[in-house]
Amino acid sequence: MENKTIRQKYFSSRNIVLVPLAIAINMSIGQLVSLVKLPIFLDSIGTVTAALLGGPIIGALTGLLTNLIWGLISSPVAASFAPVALVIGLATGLCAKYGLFRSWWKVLISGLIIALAASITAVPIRLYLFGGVTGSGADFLTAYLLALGKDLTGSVILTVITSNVPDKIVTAFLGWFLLKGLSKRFLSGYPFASTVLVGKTASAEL
Amino acid sequence: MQQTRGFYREGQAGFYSFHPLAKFLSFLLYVLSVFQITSWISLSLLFLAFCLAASKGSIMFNILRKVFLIFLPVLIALLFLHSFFHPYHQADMQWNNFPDMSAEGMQYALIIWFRFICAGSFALLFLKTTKISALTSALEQAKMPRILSYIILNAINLLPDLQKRIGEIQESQQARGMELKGSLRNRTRALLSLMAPLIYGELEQLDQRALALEIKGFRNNNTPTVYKREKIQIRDYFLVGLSFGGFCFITGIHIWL
Repeated sequence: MENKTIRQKYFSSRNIVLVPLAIAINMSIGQLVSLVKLPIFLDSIGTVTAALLGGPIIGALTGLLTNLIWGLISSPVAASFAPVALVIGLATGLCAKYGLFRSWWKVLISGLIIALAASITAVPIRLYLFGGVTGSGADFLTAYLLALGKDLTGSVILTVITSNVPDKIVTAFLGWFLLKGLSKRFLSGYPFASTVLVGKTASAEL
Repeated sequence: MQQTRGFYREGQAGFYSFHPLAKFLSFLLYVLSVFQITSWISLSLLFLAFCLAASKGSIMFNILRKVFLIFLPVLIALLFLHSFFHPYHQADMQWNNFPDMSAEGMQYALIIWFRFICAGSFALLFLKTTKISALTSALEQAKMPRILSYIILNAINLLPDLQKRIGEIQESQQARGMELKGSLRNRTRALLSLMAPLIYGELEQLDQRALALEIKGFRNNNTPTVYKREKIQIRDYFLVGLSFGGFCFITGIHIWL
């Protein structure tokens, strides 16, 4: 009975159709950014949008499934970072729940919190699974820091934080702007989102 | 943009004939075994054994080519980072031209790389011989919530549509003077002008999709998302048993040493 209540709360029809769309948006925007050759990833924009519309559980599920599906259809390496994507969705949803998406400076703080949470999760994976590298351009920074005399853990932590902070702040702002641009009629279908912007306590709706 | 539908290739022989759940379990056990081995020579032997065992299906060459392409940048980065900047560098390689290369770093890089090659090859063999719909069906058979099956299959079906839509938006924006190359500002503007119509356009359609689910009564009835179900056969038990035996053997040696 309790399970059914949780399912009804989090998995409304709107949320169920939102998750696959957010996953497809993550992958498409990720490919688009590499096409435009920008120095950020933006591959969690769908996760952030889903978390702002549906809450932390929907955000976490979107993040987790994005990387698992990505691993299944094109890049097996992406699947190893599935816990990171899950944490991004969860952190975004929790920031939104506690009112950290109501003004631009709060969104900035949210971006920092999301980046920190993602980095804490990504560092052990990058360190123990990949030996500190993933074959991306950021590896040069790790090599540079090692050459300066830092240990591998410290170098990886600094590299992950440096690459995550700008990306997650930009993603948080984009997600916030997207939400602000949506019509009231659309947002009325997502009780969590309306509380994020209006300023009521989200927990009451959840 | 390139359309992505997965790694699956049509075929019937060898690994194709096993049940997706048996293949999935074997893959998990194999990965757990691989990550216990701490010698690159043992890993390379295991990789060789895997190649010989899996070569029956004639897709092995394709898999190896793909795996090496995916993990080549990782190998280069690993060798560069750990050979020249290994934090616990004590013994140099005995090559005259490279006196600063660390022997420990080189070995560490090879261990990590061989682990990826071993796990990556099995992952690709699994993905090339298993339809995603068959995998979700099998997982649903193993009591995975059918909402998850719906989400996975729907996301994979939506991807080509979104990529097609990006192409259309790109063409119309380029007709209005948008440039994908040039300064960082230009490229950022190009990205935003592609991203905003795409996301808003797709979000607008969510209501219709949600309504379709409501009409179908998706959340209230228990009809399965996938109708075709494969039966688990004796050969599937054999594959899982063999993988489990290998896992126990490697774990035993790991504990003994």
